[in-house]
Amino acid sequence: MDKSLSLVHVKLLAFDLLSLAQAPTDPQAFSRDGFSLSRAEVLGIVVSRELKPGRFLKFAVDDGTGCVPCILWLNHATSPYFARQRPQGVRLIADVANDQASLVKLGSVARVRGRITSYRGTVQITASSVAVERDPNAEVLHWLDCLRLARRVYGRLGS
Amino acid sequence: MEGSDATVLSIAELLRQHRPFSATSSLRSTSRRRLSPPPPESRRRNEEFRDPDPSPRVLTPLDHPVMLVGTVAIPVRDGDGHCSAALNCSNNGTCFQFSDGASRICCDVLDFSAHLLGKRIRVVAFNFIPFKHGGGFLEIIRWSFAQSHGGLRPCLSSSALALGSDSSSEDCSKARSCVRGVVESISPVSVVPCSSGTSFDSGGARNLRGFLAQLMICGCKLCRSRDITKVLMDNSNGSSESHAYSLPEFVYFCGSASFWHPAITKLIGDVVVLSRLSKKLIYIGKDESQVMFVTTDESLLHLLEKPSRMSTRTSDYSIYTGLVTGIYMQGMVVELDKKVWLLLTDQQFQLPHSLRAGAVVSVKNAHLLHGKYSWAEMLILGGCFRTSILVEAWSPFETSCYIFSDMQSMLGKFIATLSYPARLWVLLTISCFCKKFSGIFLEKEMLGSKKKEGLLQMYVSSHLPSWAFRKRHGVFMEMCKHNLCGFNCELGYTKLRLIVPFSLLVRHCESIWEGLLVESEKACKVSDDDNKSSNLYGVNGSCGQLIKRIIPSDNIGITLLGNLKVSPFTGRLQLADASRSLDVVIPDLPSTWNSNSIYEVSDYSIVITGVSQRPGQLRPFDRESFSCRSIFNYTPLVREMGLDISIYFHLKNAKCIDFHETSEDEHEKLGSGSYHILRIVHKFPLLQKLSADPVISASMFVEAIILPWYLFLADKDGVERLPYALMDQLEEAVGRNSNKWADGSSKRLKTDITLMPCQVIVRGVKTSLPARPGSLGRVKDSSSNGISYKVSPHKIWLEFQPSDISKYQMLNIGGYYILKHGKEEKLRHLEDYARGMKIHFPSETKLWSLSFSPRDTLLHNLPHDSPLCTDQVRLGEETGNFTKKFSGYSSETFPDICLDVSTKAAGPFWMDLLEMEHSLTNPTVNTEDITVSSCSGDMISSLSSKFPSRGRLFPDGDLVSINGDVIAIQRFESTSCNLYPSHENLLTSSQQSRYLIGDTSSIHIHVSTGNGTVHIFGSLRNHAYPIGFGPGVNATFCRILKLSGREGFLLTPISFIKTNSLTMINEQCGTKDSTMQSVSDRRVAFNGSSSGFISELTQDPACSTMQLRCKVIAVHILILEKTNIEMDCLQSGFSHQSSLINIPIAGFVVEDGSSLCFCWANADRASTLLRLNEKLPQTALESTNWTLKWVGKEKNASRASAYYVDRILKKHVKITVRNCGSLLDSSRQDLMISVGSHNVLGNFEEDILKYILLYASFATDWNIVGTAMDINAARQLQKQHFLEMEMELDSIQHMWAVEVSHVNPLTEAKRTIEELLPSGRCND
Repeated sequence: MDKSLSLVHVKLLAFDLLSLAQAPTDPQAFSRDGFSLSRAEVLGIVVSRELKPGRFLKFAVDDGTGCVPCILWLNHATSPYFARQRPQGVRLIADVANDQASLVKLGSVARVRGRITSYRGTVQITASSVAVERDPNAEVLHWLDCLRLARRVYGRLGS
Repeated sequence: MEGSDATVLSIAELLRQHRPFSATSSLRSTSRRRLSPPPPESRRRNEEFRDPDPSPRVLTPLDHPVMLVGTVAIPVRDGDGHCSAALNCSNNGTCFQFSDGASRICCDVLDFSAHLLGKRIRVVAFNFIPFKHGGGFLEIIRWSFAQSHGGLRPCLSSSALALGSDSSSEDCSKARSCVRGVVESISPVSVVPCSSGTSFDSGGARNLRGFLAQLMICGCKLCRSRDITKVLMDNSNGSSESHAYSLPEFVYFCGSASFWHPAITKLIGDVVVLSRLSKKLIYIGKDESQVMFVTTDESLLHLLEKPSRMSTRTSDYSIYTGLVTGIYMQGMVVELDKKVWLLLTDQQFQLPHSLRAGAVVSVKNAHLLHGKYSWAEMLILGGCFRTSILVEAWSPFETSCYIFSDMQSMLGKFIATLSYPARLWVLLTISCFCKKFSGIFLEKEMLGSKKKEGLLQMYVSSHLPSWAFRKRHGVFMEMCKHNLCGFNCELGYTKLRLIVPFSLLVRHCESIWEGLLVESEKACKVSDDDNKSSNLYGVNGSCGQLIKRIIPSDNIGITLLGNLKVSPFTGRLQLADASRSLDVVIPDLPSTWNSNSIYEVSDYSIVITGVSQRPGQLRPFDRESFSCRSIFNYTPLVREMGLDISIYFHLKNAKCIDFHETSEDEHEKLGSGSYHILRIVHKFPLLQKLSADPVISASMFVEAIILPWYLFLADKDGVERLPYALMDQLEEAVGRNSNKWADGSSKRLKTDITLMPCQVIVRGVKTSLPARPGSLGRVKDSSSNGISYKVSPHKIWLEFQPSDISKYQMLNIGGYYILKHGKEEKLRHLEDYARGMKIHFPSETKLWSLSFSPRDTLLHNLPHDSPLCTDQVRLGEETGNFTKKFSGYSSETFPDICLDVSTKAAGPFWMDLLEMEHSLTNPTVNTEDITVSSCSGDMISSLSSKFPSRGRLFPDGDLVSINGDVIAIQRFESTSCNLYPSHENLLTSSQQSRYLIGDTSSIHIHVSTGNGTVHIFGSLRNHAYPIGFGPGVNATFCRILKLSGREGFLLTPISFIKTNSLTMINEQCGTKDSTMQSVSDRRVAFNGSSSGFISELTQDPACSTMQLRCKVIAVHILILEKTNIEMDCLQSGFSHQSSLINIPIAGFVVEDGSSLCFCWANADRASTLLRLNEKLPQTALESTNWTLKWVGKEKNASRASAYYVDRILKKHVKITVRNCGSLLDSSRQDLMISVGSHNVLGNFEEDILKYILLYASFATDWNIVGTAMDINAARQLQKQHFLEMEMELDSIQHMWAVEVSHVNPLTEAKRTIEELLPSGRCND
């Protein structure tokens, strides 16, 4: 398994991302054409949104080839994960996350980056950053980027 | 009907004309489709030759139709079995002949058919190329059988052609084998020496001429049949498709069949049947044998149709079809399509005559290799014994035929034993070597002969690693066992370095220079906003300012090879070849250097100094300067840019190649006897006479002091000679004081002299010799017997003849030298006139530079302002033992002789030495015109003398010496004889400076000394201009005039500039960022940076910038500083506020979906990536309580990040941020913030900073134009900014951001789609 992409946010179209298989050895990793992947970036229109304040925001992003479920955690105050960090720092991160959550609106074009995870057998993205794109051309550029990367980088081992 | 009205030419008429022409008028009248189809490359060929290349002339077409009538035949053998020499054809029986009954010439046929052989044909379209030495070559384009009136060839399915001379014989008892197969490859014709009488040839013990052909045969029953009729019948059924030609079989065409070589070559790829062969076991090597078919005198060749497909067997051989764009090195190197290099170095190989520049050829069965060298990469087609070259289309140009020349020399054989990449390197080296040393060596001396190996072979073989050689096994062996000629080792050739003619190197440097200028121009433009110091030196723009660049040898990839000599024109030390000479600086050059030797330097620096040019004057960067093409096609430079290019290297890193095997014994050795000790006080610059002769014709003068001490050297047996010198000294001293002195000198000598032992270590050119015993001696000062005398140092002026310029150049101010004292007439002069008088320096006298050890003892006792104590970075500071010892003077660190004098024993000597050094710095010097310098500051020291003051007409002041670093130099063309240019005067003379051309130029030098910057004005002649002088040089300005009542110093005609060290400062835009310089040095062209992915970013030095579209993942390292400019633009919005915040360095983790990368940036680039000019979201202020602290929420609402950073910097001056947490995850960062002030960073300040950094990692894509950095550059960058090295960063790719801009998704999408659809155009 080639690990050169394991730290990179790979740009994949939804149909491609959703068909990823979990690596048998490492549940954190997913495999595609001999590459081990763990992070991804998707871009598309927000088609669903479910907010549990103080806990999480669940939303889905449709890029025209499929719909990727995403989760943005907002539980910084309660999560034991952040307990060891300086409260002010955690608050900063929490504020940023809440800020990002407020940007996710139905119909907006969102760029989501995060870890590829699996929830109830389905691939989803645990978002680490969400940005809203104002330029509609960003969506086309994302498709082209996915194509270009698939050809020149991700397809390297497969072909 | 073509040719009906054509004039019939005879061959004799062709030869008589003796000019190349093309007779193709018949082609124009007929339909093009009926011609042999135009070659597929023809379109490309036209395009390629359209460029302004000095392309050869197109063959003159005849305006009237002509034709030739005759027969094409295989070469006719003469009595010796050789092709007739009458044709002037050097290709021994490997080309066709055209005969019209009366005479014959060589020919080749474009659409060859074996059926035309021997038939009478009409040639209606052809090219004729005469050979230089008589004879000629016919390129037949179109022909028809003379018998067939329709002009069409008969379609013969199969017919038999006799290979031997005796085909009529029906006795086939011995030769009954036949073979059917596809001709795969054929070997060149070789001659087997036969001693036995069983030769196939008729003449008994005659050498056997022949060639091997490899046929791929089919293993089926039918093909294996011995019955020739069956084999041939099969073809008539048209079932050849069913055959699989996959088994190799060899046929040896020997004897008269060997003359079929050209015909069989044409049949490569065709199915042929050969009958009446015999099958024999042939020894192909000493112990190797192979069963193969052998032709006999009765053998027949049957032609079948071409197979629809080649055999299915995969072969490692290739067919490469391309346009011949050049033939070099007597045909050993053929350039195809301007990119592929076909090597045909095997001596048995004979190029077809039709292989001319402009022809389209197919190269069959050659090895395609990728040659990776230190200076370039290229594709190599290696020709082996199986390689055949078929010309597909004749050249339309008047290029001459290749005439095979006998390369039976040792060099030719040597080349054949090398692997292909090594061969190309050797051929390039030969080409360069011959150009470099034409006129220096005889050609025969360089190339060698059949029996003696030449200089080239000696040089080349000493540089090739053992694995570059391969064993050759002969034609038979390599043909049959083709794995023997496999060359798979392509690695390691990067170590092979090229030697190029120096003029080519100059051209390359000029290209680099222009690339750098274009780049610096751009960089200056980028950082113009926040830059404050580009006009620091009062220069408008950067024009007219001297810029210096140092390029290390690693970035050039070539080795220097040349003669060391002193130029008779400039008096400078130069490394020279036949093409050009280059000024060199060699700090460790011993006085005994040998000008006959050739030095090879692979570790050096090239120092280029020039004036920055105006935009628009730059030529595009020429990447081709070291291409094979430009090396083989080398023409000397017509016009150079006038850059000052000099080479800096250490002799210890250079290899002395004694081609003439001169040994060190030839040099003048330091013999036994007595020696004077001199200390050089001043060197007067070269005087240039007002004559047209550029050769230095005036004498040179050096001021020196003779010490009262002598050095006595014992001879080899250790016997010290009686120190007669001391007697002379005594005589002289006493004689000066008293005339009564008459006799008994030898008696007195014993009592009046001081002698102390010392060890003398002589440094040779190559090695140090063992220490020799010696002693130092002088006459004691005495006042006994009523005669008082005192021996004191004398001041002398040495006059050097123009022929002794090298001696003058070798002398260093402040250096100690020894000079042989003798009884001879000439040297007596030195004694007799050494009373402050000018003495003529005899040219045969030798000076050795001297140093003393131990050093420390002396240094402790020296006055602080003594030149002996100057603490400077020296040329070659990190060199061997000699430098550690007392080096006599600052830059003289490589003396010829080292005197080991113990401090205890030689106390008086040290005392004298110290006293003299003191006298040179103190006002107690005996001559009355020398006074102490009134100049303040301890950087001004050394000897000073009063300049005669003559009112206000002339500048007056004291002569002083200044040591310091040159910051900048401006040059002005001197039009008026302004001897006393004022500061203002100089700055207002805004004429375009013309660099280093013209005799005298006014200059303004900014020198940084310990006490600040001083300004030195004056005019400086080129001869006085030290090599490599320019910004970044540490120099001592000796005897310059301190202007009284004014600021600044003036260079006088006696001023001498001595360079002590060369360092590199980046004067580009006034920033002192050497790391950025090291990066930008590597990228030579800024324009046209290609776009790509991080994963494609390479560290190739040749690779220029690359445009990447990536995101910032995290900010890892950041230094924020306050700029010094106080501008109150806080109220005026923040369009330019980044200029208030200086970011010396920032490190970002960036990513583009293909890979991660660590991106270093500074100034504006870093500011953009940090989004400092973007407004912070409202939440930032809420979450950081910033609003509570400052002013009010409403007012803060529209602030950009820079505002907050600026406020924090106002308080803390400098902020350093480092991430100690996760490199990748912005939410798991652990930012360590330290500040430059003593204040503690407040919580809200820390929070807003963290928010700003976090916010930077949520940005969308950036377009970053960057260059790859290697880990060492990254480490140096961190070191430079006092950042800790992080091991974590070692494994990641590093990049330097040159330009950062926002992404326009539409533009990017258009560009990407164009890339994805290579042929399609993306319309708006």
